[in-house]
Amino acid sequence: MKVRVLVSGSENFVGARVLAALSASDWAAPLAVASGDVWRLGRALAAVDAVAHCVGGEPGLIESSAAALYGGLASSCTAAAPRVVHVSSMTVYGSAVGTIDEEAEPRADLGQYSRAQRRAEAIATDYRNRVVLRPGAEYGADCPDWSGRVAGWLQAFRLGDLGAAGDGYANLLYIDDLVHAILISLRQPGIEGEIFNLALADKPTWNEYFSAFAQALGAVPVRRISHRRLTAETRLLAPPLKAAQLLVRVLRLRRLAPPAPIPPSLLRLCAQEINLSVAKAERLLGMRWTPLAQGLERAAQAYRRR
Amino acid sequence: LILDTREFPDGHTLEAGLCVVGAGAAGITLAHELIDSGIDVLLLEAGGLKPEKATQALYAGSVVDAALHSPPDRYRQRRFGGTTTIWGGRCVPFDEIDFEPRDYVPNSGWPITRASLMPFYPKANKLCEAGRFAYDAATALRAPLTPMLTGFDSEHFSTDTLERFSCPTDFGRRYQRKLGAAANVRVLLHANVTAVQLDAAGNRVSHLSVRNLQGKRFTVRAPRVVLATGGLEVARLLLASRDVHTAGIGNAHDVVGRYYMCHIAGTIGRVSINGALTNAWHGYDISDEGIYCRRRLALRPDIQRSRRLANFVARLHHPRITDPEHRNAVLSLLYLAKFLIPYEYGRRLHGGESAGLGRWLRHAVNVIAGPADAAAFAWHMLRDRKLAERKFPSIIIRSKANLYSLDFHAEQQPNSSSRVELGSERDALGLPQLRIDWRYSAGDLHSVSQALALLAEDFRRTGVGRFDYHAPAVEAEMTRYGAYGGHHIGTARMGNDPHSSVVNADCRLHDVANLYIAGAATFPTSSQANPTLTVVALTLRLAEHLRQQQ
Repeated sequence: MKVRVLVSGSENFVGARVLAALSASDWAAPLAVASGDVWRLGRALAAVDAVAHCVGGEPGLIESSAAALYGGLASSCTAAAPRVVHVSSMTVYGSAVGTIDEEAEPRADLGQYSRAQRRAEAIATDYRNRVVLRPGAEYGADCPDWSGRVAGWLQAFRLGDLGAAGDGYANLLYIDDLVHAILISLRQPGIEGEIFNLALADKPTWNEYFSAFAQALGAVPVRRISHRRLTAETRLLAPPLKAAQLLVRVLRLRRLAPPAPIPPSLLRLCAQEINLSVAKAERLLGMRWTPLAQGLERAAQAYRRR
Repeated sequence: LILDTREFPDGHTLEAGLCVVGAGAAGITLAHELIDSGIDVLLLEAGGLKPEKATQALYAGSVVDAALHSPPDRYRQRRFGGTTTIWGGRCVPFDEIDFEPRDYVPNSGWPITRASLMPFYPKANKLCEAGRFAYDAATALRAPLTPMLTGFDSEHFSTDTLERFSCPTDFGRRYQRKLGAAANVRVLLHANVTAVQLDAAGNRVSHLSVRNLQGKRFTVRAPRVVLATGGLEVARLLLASRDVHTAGIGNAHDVVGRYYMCHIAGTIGRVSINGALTNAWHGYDISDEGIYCRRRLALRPDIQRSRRLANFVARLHHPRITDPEHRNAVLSLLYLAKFLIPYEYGRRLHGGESAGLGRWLRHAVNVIAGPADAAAFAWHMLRDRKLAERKFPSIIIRSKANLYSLDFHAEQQPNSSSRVELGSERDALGLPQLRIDWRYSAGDLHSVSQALALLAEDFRRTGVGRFDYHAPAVEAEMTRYGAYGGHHIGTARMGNDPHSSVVNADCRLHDVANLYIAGAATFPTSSQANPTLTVVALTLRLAEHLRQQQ
């Protein structure tokens, strides 16, 4: 008999891939719930053996979906508590620097998103049969933030070698590795209540990532971006671009979409020397990481086309 | 942590696991490489974060022949970042032949091979922000490339080796944040080491005496000390520390300060290229990583051996700027704007030649005659050099007549009579000033002359063009601007024999168990290559040694 797995957040780039992988497997029967259908979570839980909770995006949605999920689980009458794989984020560590393992106290001090992820984890604390995954920056084909957005900036030569501003560790995670970790965590016994960091073990700096990705995309020669220009991008250009983006969205003028703003948070992250320790995931989940060059090439294939 | 002696009480003593003296290319590289090593590193910098006149004046000294060597307070900077705050950024690794003992180059041969340095070059390239360690055109650049010289098929010279260019990276500005955030590194500014104090037996450093210009005195104690103060200041400190060994530290055999090398460089002759303008490409190529690269004419190692010549490279160059006969608006603009160009670069533009009103007017006429060229060049320099963080490395003028001069950069042979020593004057901290007696040799002149003759022969034989020069003028041209500025090499040379060297293959003084030298002072020979990349690579090798010894 197949394992019935509910995938919440099935419309986003993580959930959709998890759904596809489960569908292709010979052991799972997936059930999809989109992020916007949080209200359905409670009712759907009665009929599942496991949950892959992949809701991301808006901070409010992250918190409300966690509340709906764990509230629903608490009130459901199923005999065995289903395994929940809760996909959180490395942003719960906030501004921490140095080598960070899962025992580190989450600071969640980098804005609403990091606080929302931390609060969602807190909501899950009392549920025993949950596994929390804290992935780094997901990259690969159809990864909108760390591949799609970055590809656009590189192709427009707005991003490149940032000098000292790009010396931080890029805690990259190839999207297929995240999906693999979720599928393992759904079924592996003995890891209830555990938390796992997920990222490349051998991390490049952000400068190295941007340079290698730009070259894979053919966005060459890679530009050196001055501190002066970065400041202008993030302080002067980003606010009006963001406003224009919102306006275009409200007015549904997609053809007039402005260039994506480079947010100040990106610069903060690129300089942050946080090195996620992933030894635990390697040891208990048997994780092995897609080599950066391989992952980048696949990502570049997707974004070179566009 | 970045600290400043000015905030410390007089008489303060600092302790560390390793003390590195000098925060330039070598010192910063060493401290950077030892981040998270578990070694408690104290990096002493004589200057502050910005240039300071009084501090820079501590570099003052004298030269025996002012025509042959610039004053010692030029071409080097006493501040955080050291001379990387003004360097040109040219990165070139040493060649395998540079490490070999060559019977035709007196005192040549390193106690290490290039292979032992190779593992450190890629990271050195990275720290210098010069991209991948790829120094041949086929590997580094995207094909098809414009040939450097169409039809130049020479058995004497190759055209496929590269020089790559750093931003140029100011190591101070670039790595300040990392060093400041490192838990095991303390940077101490305004910390002038005035003496290396040995123990009574004279074979270990006991402590360092440190002073600042506010009159405060400090003591630094560390079980291991690395001097990374540059080729001139290393010799000065060793020679001036005479309390136990009267001849100075490491100088029992009178080697410290001798074998002082720079490079033999000059611009000579007239190169005329036959045929289309595209038959010669003397500009920069840009690698995919965005690094400026330049090909050059390099004397092949087998020819060096068979002809018994020292290492040598040459590049096509614009005509001499000072001579308005070139009728080039851009060159004349550079001449007229020479007061805007820093001394270290301006010297080779106007190098001591007197400029009468007539010459000024002729240059002005050239500019007026070519306003479009002058304006385009000014815009290029503003956009690609002044405002760019990765700067266009040098002035490249495309000749509309296929006419160039030849710029050469050659190895200077090690020569014990070329030396730096202590002068009779003292600086504001009481340290004897340097007296520089740089000398070139008949071997240097012979090597350059022969290499130029081979090049002229190759131009003629291949039909690429002509290289005409006045052979008797070679000596005058290679010394026109004196020793190549900023390359201070060999004053505490590396070797296996304490009678002819100062440090061993680990860069440790032969007779002082806990004192190391980082930098070009340790190079036994000078190569054709600029020293910074190899300084960084050798320092990375030293860092590994220090880690292993921990």
